Amino acid sequence: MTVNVKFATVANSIAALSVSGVHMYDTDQIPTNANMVVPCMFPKPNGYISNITPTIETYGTAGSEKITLEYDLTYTYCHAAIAENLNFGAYAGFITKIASILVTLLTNDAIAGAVDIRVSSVSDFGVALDPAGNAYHGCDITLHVQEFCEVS
Amino acid sequence: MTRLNSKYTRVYANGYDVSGVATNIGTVGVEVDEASGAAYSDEVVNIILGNSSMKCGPINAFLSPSAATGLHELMSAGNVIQNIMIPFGAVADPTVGMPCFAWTMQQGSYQANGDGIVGVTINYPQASYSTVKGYDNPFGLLVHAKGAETAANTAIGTIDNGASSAKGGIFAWQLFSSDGTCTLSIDDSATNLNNAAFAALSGATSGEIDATTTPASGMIALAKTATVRQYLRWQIALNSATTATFALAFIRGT
Repeated sequence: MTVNVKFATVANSIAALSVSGVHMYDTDQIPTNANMVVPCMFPKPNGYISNITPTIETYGTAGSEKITLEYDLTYTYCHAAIAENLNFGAYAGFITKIASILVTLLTNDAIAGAVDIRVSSVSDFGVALDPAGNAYHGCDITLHVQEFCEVS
Repeated sequence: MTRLNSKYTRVYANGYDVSGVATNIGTVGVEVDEASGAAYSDEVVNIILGNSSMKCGPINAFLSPSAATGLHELMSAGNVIQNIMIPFGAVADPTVGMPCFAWTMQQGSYQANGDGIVGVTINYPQASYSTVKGYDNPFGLLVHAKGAETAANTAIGTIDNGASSAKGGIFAWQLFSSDGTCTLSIDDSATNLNNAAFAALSGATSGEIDATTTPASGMIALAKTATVRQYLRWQIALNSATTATFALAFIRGT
């Protein structure tokens, strides 16, 4: 039996989700500077994959056993540059978009590559940084993923 | 073959899909035991010594605040004879060929509780209901996953038993909705070459049914020696209906 770990497939599936007005990025598309592409959601380069927990579910060796793999994927959401309007004019739209993203994630719990995917947390709500260090209204969104490793 | 995943378990009862409010199905299956002090004709226990006893539940569910949602309307009366169908899925919703529990059970209780959430517990006394007496296995295969059809099936079969059998079987059906009358049935065939190879499996038919206002369901036991050919497929005859949403299962006799 083949053991599969489908980080790339899952990331690709998440990037393929459609949230109105939001650019969703795959691991090979992470913007270094989000200025021209906000609002956007991209894999958080520092800490994208965490809490990897393989659980052996059956008897067997060398891949013949059934393995459940669980892990977290963290995305950064950048909505609009902070102080772009010298006020909080973008903040209400930020909240609305977070709600839209959550609705999309909660209604897509069977994406290709994963048996189950759930929103684990929304954290650091307020200021998010793109890889270049620019500050945006944004947050981190962590997804908890479950894979059956025997599923290709 | 991967594993079954409870996320994709579905619970149907008397033509109602209660999956959206059910949180747990308890244990479904069969035990072979002897009942002490029970008469053969006992309507509740109904166990023949040395024969199988079916078990189902308890099913735990949210207490639906509206009768229109199904479960409360169906089960609150208690002591209702119900056609239960529980198909299982692996990494997707149950599809044709997936394992499926199907049996007619007599509901024993409907109890609300407020422990954390307001929910209900629905118990089924361990029993083999009399209409399917003589069969000892409640597990079959899903022949048609829940979905709508608007025309008869002319495709080749999707269930391959590997060989013909002559031990009968049980046909279980759940008609969730329709806009008129229809007849659900099973076709069988010795080969899987084309549409012409299939013919109606004698006895495996719902008869004319209508779920325009109330869902319908049934469980039909074939003669214990009936021949069931190697390949199976679902079939529908649309009478006054133009569309029907249903699920079918077949338990081949063993």
